[in-house]
Amino acid sequence: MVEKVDFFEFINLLLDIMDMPLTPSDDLSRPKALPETLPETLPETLTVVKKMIERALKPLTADEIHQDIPGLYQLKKQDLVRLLQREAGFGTLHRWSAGPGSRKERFWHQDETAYFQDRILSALSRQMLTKIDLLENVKKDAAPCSKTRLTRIVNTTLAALIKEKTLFDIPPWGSYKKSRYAVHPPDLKLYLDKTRKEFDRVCQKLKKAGIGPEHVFAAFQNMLSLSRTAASPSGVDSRKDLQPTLPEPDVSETVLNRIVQTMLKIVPSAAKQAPVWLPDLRNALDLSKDTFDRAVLILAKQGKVFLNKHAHPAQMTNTEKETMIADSQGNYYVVVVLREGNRG
Amino acid sequence: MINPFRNRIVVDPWRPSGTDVAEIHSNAFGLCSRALNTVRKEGRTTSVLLYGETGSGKTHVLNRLQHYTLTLPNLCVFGSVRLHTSPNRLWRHLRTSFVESLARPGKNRRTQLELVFMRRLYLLCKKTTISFEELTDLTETIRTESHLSPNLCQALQHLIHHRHCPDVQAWLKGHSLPESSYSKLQIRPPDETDDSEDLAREMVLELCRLAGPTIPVVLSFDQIEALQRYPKDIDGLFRFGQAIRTLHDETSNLLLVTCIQTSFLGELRKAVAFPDFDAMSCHVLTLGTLKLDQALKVISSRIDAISDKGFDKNLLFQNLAKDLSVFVGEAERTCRAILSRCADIFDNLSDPAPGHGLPDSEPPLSTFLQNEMDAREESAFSRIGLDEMDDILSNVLPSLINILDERCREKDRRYPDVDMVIACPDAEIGISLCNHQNMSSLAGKLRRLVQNFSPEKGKRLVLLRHPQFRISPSAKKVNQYLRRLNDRRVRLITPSLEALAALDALRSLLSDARSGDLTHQGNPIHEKTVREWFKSLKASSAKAFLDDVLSESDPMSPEDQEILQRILYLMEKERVIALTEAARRMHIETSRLEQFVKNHLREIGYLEGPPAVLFDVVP
Repeated sequence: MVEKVDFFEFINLLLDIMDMPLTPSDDLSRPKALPETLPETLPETLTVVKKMIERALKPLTADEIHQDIPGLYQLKKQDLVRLLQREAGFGTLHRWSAGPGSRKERFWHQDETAYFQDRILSALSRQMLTKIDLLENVKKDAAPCSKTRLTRIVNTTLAALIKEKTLFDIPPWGSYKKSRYAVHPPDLKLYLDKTRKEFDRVCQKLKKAGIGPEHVFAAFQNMLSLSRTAASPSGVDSRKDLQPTLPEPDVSETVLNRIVQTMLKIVPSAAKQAPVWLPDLRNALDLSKDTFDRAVLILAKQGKVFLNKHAHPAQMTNTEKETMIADSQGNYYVVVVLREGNRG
Repeated sequence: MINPFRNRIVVDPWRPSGTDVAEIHSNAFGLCSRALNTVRKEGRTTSVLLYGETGSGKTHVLNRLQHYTLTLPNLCVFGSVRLHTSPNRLWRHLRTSFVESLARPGKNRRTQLELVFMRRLYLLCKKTTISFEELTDLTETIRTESHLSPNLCQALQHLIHHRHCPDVQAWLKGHSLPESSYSKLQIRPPDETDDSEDLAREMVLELCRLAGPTIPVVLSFDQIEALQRYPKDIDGLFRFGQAIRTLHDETSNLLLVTCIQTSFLGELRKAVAFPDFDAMSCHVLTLGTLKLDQALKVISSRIDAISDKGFDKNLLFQNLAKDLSVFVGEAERTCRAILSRCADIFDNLSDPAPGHGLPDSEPPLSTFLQNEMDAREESAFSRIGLDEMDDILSNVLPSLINILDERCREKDRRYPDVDMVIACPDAEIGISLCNHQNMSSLAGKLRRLVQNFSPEKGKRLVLLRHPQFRISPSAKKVNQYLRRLNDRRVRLITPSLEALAALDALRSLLSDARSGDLTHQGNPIHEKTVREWFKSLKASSAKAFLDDVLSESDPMSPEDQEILQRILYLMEKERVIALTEAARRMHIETSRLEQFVKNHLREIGYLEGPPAVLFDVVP
């Protein structure tokens, strides 16, 4: 079987190699056999391997990496595996579980759990989904992953993110018979709709007996307050009116970390205090406006980032203002900058 | 006592080093100095892009960098460019600003340009004194090594000998010189067909090459925002990006430092092409706001600089620190905002107004703008040179015309001899700047205008010339072409010196507003506010001039034009002359001349008699 060669990838690799410094050890003096203990002395090979992994669109097995390493930088397969494992231990590469129909572990530049966690958050920020739909959505066009492994990641991620209130379990309602997951809490109006109709019906009935809706409501409120002490799973305070206000969900550490990581992803020099244009960061994240705005302000308060404000906010259009972050003093922040030493 | 917090805007990097807290923005300064080291060690051009809120201290970092270059053991050149120019004149402005920077003193009180040239000479001969013959030979070697033009080498030799310095400076800046100066300098005048922007770019690159591989050149760019002639204008930013890339790609010894407001980032990225942006931003850094402890260090350094020995500095510090602990708080503030706050408190403490909290020590906005305008106009009146008119008008005319009518915008010009084309709803107005001292060049330009301009409906052409550049009746060709253009309803307008000063003042007001450097009560004034204020002005010399340029009035008759030229020429020679004597010399009836002069009092002074006297109007 003839193996296909990606010509452009090959050229790119060659160019990378040409860029590298030719140290004496790259020359004829290179020892034919590698020493038993794994080397501090293979920086060039490691650079080549890292570049291959960085450029790969999916995680690669050690075999795949080994066969693509140019001759000059070759090393034994078992040495390569050890090198990859060592680097994964250092955190400069990431180990991935075996792909579908394989038993060989893989290596990539992104962490497996973080990768799928991102995809889960991204999918749920677009729409609420059942677990099955979520699995399908996360799997589609993603780096290959076995079904068992993916299910486990989805389950653990959902559990963790629901616990820290980044995600919410949406119980079945109306014609929907299955629980769903979303980035926002359930809309209680949907659940109280039937109750509301029943309340109106009762009021209508009692009107003939001369009992006004306010009396019915007072009685109902009384009943509710009694039952609330017994059990109030949602923690919703319904004393004020029938349109309950939800407690503001805290912004989770996961979201804060995602923001920092995304800043570094879209502007690599952000680590060196390059500014990140807030509309760009917002677009790259798929978070709701409220969550995003609060998360960035929390990061600023924590001293992890600083913000620069617009000199003349009055000159911005409403659409432009919507993409920035406002504070309580009428400032509109336009860029966010990582403080020195903060890389998430 | 002078308020120690009032002087809060560092207008340019050349200001003497005053109170400076090195810890503030040390990261930005460190980045620039490391980049400078890279230029020196690796022999390649690199760039730093500094972002910051208005008043965060971008220009202050440049100021620190300028002083730092003077302390380095090895020679380093510093140049600064404030971009209050027109996109069409970007390279010419860069050339002028760079040459002005090179004319500033470096080490040992010698100008930077002299030092660079002397360093190159020294590196070749390793001697501290050289003979005239050696100088010529060594200059020739430098010329060959660095691909310099013979004209530049000639100019450098004049400078070293301190010969014809004003003319050499003017030539280096690209200003127009009379024929006599060219022959005196033994420099070939530029070809009529050469594009001035190309010539300017080549001169900038030549000067960079002159510094050679061993002398790094820091070129700083401030007030980039001023390149916008009107809101959302991106042409200037695009061209600036291209210029930066040219400098980046075609030199090997530059550190390009660009400063912009953070809120301008979105517009800059839209306007500048990707490769140009990359060339501009090899290193990027954002200046942060100040924390309380940094704010206290700033005010402490200002208080320490108070020379009055009897003044209770501790009490002032405590008062300010108490206020700042609330003012700075979690929000953090820019250095300018903190100083503005302290300035107000200082005024309040010096002259407490009963029943008030913080005094409103600055006047209302419109009065503030008028005062600023008056002060800048006065300063411009005594400062601006004859050769600056082109730069002033190219920058400010499109903006001001757009303020008067938002539909009027500058459009691309078709002929190089028409310097600006303003497209208005009813007409397209071409503006040709004719500030040539060299009559042959002027005649050449007018000839080409005669050839290329034909009067059409909705198209007008206006010639502008500095009031102090007079056209002698003996300049036959020039007068002949002017008459022919006059027949085609092309008007020659000479703005008054007051109008020029007002235009320059408006240019700096608008540029400062665009760059966030115009503040009132600690808050930046938006350009729109200045535009509205200017629009609301009832009368001003700048507005009168604009009306003149935009009006469709008939040009002066050829006879009147000739009389005006002759009388101006006569006044330039005589300065003061009796009306009758002037009429006699000009072979014209006294009553006619008197009537003519009364119609042109802006150009010619007139004192009623007896005897009536004419005098040259000298501001």
